[in-house]
Amino acid sequence: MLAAGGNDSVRARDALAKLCQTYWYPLYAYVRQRGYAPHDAQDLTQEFFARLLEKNTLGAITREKGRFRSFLLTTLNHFLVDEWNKARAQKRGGGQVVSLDARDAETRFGREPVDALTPERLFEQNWALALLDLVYRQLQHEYETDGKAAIFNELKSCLTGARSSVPYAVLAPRLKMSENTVKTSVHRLRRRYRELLRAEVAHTVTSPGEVEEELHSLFRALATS
Amino acid sequence: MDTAETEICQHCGKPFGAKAVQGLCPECFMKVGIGTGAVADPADDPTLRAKTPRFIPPTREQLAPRFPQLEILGLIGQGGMGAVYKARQQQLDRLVALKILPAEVSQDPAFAERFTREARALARLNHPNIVTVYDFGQTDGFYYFLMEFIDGTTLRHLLADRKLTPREALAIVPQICEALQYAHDQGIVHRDIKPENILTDKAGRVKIADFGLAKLVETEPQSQRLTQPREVMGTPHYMAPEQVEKPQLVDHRADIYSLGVVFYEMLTGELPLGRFAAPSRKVQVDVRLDEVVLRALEKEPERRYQQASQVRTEVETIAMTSGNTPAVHERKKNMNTRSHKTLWFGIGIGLACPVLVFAIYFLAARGGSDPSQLAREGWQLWQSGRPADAIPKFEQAVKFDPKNAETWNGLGWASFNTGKSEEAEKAFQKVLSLNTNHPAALNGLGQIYLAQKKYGEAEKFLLNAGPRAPAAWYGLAKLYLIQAKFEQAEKWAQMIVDSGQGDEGARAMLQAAKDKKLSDGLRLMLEPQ
Repeated sequence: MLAAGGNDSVRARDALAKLCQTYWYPLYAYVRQRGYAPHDAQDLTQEFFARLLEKNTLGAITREKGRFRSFLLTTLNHFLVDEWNKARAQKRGGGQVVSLDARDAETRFGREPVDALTPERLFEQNWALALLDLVYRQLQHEYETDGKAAIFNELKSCLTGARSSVPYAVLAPRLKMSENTVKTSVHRLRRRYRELLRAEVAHTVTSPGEVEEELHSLFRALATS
Repeated sequence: MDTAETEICQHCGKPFGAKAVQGLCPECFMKVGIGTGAVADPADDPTLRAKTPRFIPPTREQLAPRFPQLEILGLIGQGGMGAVYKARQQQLDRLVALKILPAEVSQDPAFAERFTREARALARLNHPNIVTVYDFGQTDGFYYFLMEFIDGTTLRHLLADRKLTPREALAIVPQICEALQYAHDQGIVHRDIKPENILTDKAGRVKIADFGLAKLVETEPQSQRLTQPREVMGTPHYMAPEQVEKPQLVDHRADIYSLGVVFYEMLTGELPLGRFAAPSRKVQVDVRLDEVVLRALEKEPERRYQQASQVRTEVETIAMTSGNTPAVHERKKNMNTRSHKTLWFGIGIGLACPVLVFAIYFLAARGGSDPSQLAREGWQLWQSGRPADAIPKFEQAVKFDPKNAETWNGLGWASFNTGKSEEAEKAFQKVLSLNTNHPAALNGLGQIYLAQKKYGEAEKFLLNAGPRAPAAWYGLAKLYLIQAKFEQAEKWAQMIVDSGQGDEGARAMLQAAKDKKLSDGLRLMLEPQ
């Protein structure tokens, strides 16, 4: 299932590279959220990917179970702590490390989502947005390739709700279709969208059973804004 | 969709501008992707079509010729009481909300007369916490209200995400009370108080919508409605018992009951159904709130509060006197947040409790040796992420008032967060000597021992704090993971995630517990250094 966590091969690394490409922004935004300046955040994100794509780390990831998203974040956190410790050690000649963790234990749980979207929440949200953007573009591309760009443009508003913002009766003459054909087209568009969405999510989880769960948690992340 | 429409989603009514995915509302886009609600979608299942004769809101194209003075920008909400559109009143260049009542009301011959009479009364309501009616009328069979446009969200949307903190609820309730008291004084009963009708604008002001509409839109005799419940009735959960049993006897006290339901839901995230528990048994809130909520929810109108203003007074008194004992889950870490929501809740509190604000300024001006004032300042500093500055405040406060467990608790946390474990331990011990069951102090000691790798001690204290201090769950999940006691770790991590408040870390812990395997990355994050 999880192509990025499949065999330790060139193919797997390519798949991982592709995923990194798709989900670059959520990671970058997360690093920024952690208080790094734009320039440092760019460097850190770059460096993180470089390490991730190195064989060792890749091996470590493939052994992990669960969602790619969670583990990317855990690994990134690990990486940031690491970098932070290094920077500190340089500055203070390797002084004692204060446990920030203890403070976190009390406050992180008490944090209110409405108060400030936690960096983790924001990460999930950006992840969901990156996923939706990718799937939208895939869907659009498919319709364009099939010479159905006009249909896609007229019907895309049906991708967000039970009804189109324009009644089918109005769409039908515009698309030179019968009302029933419009309905069928909407049905097909939605079905294809759902297929593509699931296919894309499947790249980031280890078993097919986790796809729905991942979709729901991404939906929750979007709904908390 | 043009850009004006993308600001607010036509389907869910929420603004989404900055997050738009290719011009689409991401939440609804994802929802369609998951397939939620797809069964009710006529396009997906044509057999469902004829069965649900519901109110279909008119399209923009249908409305435009009937309202030439308005530029209809988009549908922002719909329900049993009609559909609401965002529109611009061109002459005045102001945004307005246009409410179109369901077409079926006009089939009732007596409606026109009743509409004019009631609408006049509603338009006379002029109160900062009530959505203002600018105009009303009938055009081509459409009955409409033109109202103040509220740039904000509904309480339903806020509650959909999570339950509110007691503090937020305490800022909202007095404003609802003010609106209700004002309307009741004018002889108008809302009859349909529920989170969908309670709006909050960006300044944190509460605005109640749809005053009296329930009565207006009611087109059938009550007896018939009871045997044939219709969508217009809305959800019955917020209705006072007498609204169902003796509708002809309904008076303003029905609104007080509904307010009680909303209040309960804000505090606990649940509806008070059947034999429900008092709020403080479900969440960490001031026990005095139990009495307020339960009295508003009395079945007999005679036993309820008789005036909304009484509820307001009680709530404000509680808000004022529990200022220095924040519940664990309402502590705020980031005061300088990007989210404007904090600001408007903050302003909300300010508006709701001018007396409290005044009192703070007054005491601050005096330079205060008042221990409760010092403690409050300490908590404020602590909450804004400055525990080191909070320490002297708490230290001074305990000198004046050494028997106050809360103040010692504050000193404990401020010390702990600045890395002074010994001082923190002493302070927490002091709290426990005053109150052996103080959950925050038990949790505090647990966290200290956890950081010192004294796992046995940590477990004892965290388990004691457990049921009442959700923050301790995090410590327990972590403790058991470190010790590779995966089953116990799973139990606590699951509780965090189930509570809806877990973050990525909590879910990573849960996953690791289920997998019975702690990755190196996670271990590094969890183990004290």
